[in-house]
Amino acid sequence: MSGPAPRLVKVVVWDLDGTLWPGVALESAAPPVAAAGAVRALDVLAGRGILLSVASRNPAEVGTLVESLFGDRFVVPQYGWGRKVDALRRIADALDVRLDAVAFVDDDPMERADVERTLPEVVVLAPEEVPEALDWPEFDPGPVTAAARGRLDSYRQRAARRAARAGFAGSEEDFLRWCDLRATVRAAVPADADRLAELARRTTQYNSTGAALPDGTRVVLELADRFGDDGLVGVAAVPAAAGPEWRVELVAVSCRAGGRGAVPVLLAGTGRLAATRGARRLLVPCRLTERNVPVRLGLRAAGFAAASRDGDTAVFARDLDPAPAYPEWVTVREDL
Amino acid sequence: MSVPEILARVLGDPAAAALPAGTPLLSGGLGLDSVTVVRLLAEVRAESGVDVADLDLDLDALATIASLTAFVEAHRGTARPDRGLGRS
Repeated sequence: MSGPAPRLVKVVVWDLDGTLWPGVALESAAPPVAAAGAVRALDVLAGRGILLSVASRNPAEVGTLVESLFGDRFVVPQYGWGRKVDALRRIADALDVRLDAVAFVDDDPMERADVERTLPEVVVLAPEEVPEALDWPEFDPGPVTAAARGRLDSYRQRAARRAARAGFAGSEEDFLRWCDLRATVRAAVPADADRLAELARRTTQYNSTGAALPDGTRVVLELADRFGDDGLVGVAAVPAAAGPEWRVELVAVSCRAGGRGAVPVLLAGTGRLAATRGARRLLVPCRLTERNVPVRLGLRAAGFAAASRDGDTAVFARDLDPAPAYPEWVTVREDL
Repeated sequence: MSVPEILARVLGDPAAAALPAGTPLLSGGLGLDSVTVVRLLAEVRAESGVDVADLDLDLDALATIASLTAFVEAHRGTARPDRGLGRS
């Protein structure tokens, strides 16, 4: 049994005055210039697929200045007079990451102390600590894949999707249909290796066991909709794909896809493959943590029910006769 | 604090405490997203000591506000005190 995976920072939230530029911008006669090394640090982080955001006690009009200095590097920036802990919570919420995947950089020791005390799970840094922190394992996501580099675009797509959802009166299923959700369910190929390792490592909410990706048969899921193409977002791994019972030792789905029914689609595909090869039952062991409740909701939606329990792991099962059908709100291309 | 009150706090909307008990929490009702469900269960555990994620393997308790309330009431006081405290 391996130990828990090291935590990874997925978002770095920056203060502005005294951190990303010297002094207080709105009190200065001349517009500020970016602090030395700030742009480089931002680019290093972005190159590793880590998202960037801002929490600043400034009015929203400072956003114009931020864009002129840093372009569109920041997602969901938070401006205003409220506490930064609330800004950090809003950012984590909007990006669907947990607070222990958030780092916060601020030159003001009072702000840092408030965040450290209130949100001890957040990595808190002074600006001068950033160059060294870039070498810490928390900031090293391993092989950076095209999907990770595109994460910023992907979160932007998701923001657009959320805004559309908020204005959509119909049911969740109607919304997904309107989104023109398209899935490809296929067997993994060697070129997927880096992305699959990354999925196994980065996912928490939609991860069944937290195990390293097992060898053997791997069914992967790609997802696209009218807002964009998310690429490879999920994997189900079956080390011993033979016999009447197939056991899926790992289900890992990106959190940006999990909310769109990715788990049921992936497991329907896995079940259909198993059924064509003569299996009668599909088993999915799943750790019983609060954190991965979302993957269990996905199992439930896919027709699984708990069959047995051993300590902190339960095995969920569903019969494969009849073979599972794909949900009707998604268009599936199957290549297994 | 009751389940409807906890739900209202998690949603940041006091009016949610007065929703009909039969309102589904997930699809076809409130449509809570996964992050909200996780937060709701954490708050329920903190307030009532009932670890729904651990006790209800199939998460049937999440069907409606009423079913979650009933589950929590049925297990209140039976939860093992060592559950949920060992988080690192």
